[in-house]
Amino acid sequence: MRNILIYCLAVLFLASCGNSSTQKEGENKPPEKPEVPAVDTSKIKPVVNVYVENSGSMAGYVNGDTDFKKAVYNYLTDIKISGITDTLNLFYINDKPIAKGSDVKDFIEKLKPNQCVFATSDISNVFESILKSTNNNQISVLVTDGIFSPGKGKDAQQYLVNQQIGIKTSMAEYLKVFPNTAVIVYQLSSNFKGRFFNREDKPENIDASRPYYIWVIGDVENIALLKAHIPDTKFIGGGVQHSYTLLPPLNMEIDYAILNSPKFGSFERDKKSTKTSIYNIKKASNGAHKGNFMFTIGMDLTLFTVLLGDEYLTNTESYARLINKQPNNDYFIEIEHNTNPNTNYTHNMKLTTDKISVGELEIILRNQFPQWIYDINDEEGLDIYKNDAINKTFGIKYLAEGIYEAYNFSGSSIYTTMKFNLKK
Amino acid sequence: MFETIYRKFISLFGSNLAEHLSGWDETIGDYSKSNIFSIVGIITLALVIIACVTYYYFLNHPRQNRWWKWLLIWLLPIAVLNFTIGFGVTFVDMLSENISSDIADISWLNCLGFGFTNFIISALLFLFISLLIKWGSQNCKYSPFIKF
Repeated sequence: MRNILIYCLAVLFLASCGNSSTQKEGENKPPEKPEVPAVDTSKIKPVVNVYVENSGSMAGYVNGDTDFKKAVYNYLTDIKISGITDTLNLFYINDKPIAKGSDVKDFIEKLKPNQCVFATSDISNVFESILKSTNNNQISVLVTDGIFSPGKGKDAQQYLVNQQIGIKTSMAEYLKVFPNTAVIVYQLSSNFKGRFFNREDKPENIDASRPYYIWVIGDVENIALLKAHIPDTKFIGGGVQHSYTLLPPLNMEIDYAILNSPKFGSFERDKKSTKTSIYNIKKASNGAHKGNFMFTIGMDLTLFTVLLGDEYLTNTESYARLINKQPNNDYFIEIEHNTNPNTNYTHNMKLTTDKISVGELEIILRNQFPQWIYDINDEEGLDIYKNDAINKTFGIKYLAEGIYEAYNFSGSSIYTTMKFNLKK
Repeated sequence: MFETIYRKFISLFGSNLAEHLSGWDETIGDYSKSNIFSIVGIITLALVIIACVTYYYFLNHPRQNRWWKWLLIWLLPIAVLNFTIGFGVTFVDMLSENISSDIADISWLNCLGFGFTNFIISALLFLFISLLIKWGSQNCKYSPFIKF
């Protein structure tokens, strides 16, 4: 069953990538009939390069049998046995990558505090270095605590902004060359025993749970296969707390329709377009929902569930609403899983209003910067015991925003559009 | 055509039953099942035509040409029969759970409402067809009205 899903993902992605590249190359082919390359079963498997940051701030994560080591060991093993790749290269990275062979077990066993060099890391340079080593048939995995280290006496705010600009520039230039690139960031937590360095590099001994991040960069087709083989639920060592995937502009077509229930009030379907067009819309005239109109949309988000994760898809902020091409929030939305076994939809979206707006309603699944990155960002970076900073990461939002802005700058951030016709 | 007429009375039987009668199939997300509006409508029309033709041409009896006989012995029983058909067809579907789960929020009152709708439509059809064909009858041409 899983193999069928993975095969379908491959076909869908080859189709969608064919579509986007066709448009980018400016060929005069209609977008509704994209050139779909055949699935090449003899396709060269991507090389996976894994970079584990080994700056001094990482020592606490590898001190003993930590969740960090369990999670990284398990993830790398899953990559290796999944069949996605035949070549997995392991590196330490600080100011430059240091090759550590390809034996995952040996790599993890040797991953100890004494391997961490007590030097600060320039995350912008680390990213640039990794991007330079990643082509469209390579997947790069970066394991890092994501903490910026401006150093003592530096203007931290200015440093963070400069780092963000540096990361944005590197990513934007990379996307120009490889526009079908996807990026995933997983946020995990691990027990941390060792020295924590604040933004002024002042050490503090702590023994607590601390967040860290796994960044994955690669061609969207390879990333889709990776996510299909290794979903968030397969991570061990505390598991994935949050994840966020940035995809190239896909604007893929999905199956969706207006459902008959749940609803408040009533409507009739346009027989010419039964799934997407309704008329004679009336609010509920009695009962607890009197004066409200609600209708429900069924959406098959199978592919996006794999790529973007359920947390993203059930967040209402991930969807924009337009009526007659204008942003319109007259309809309040709620998203839940579809539990009706008679339909193939994965998610249902309820749209409720006390003011019926008619016209062409567009619901757009878009690239939306997630709230959890703001929540886990430590703006100060000084006192680890203040403002729950122990569970946060200094400056992580600047790193993520740099990449997010590069994606937005490179083109559309629309993943899929659902269109409906609401008539009086 | 029948669906349009029946849907004028949608407040009597509800939008969920209307969807079922239109042939809604949630697994396909379209009206792919039989349109019960059309089936019930054709049966209703056929029964009315048979009754009217029998009354005006086959029976065609002077003792039957009083308006109240036309109403009580002919129109009313046919309307009641069609009420039974309307109620019965929907009630059987409801009991046998032959209704898509997304519109299954239907009670016997909705079925009763559709039976009553069919009663009204049957009576209107009986009146209309009577007025249309009565002129050819020898003994009942002034039933139910002397002049129209």
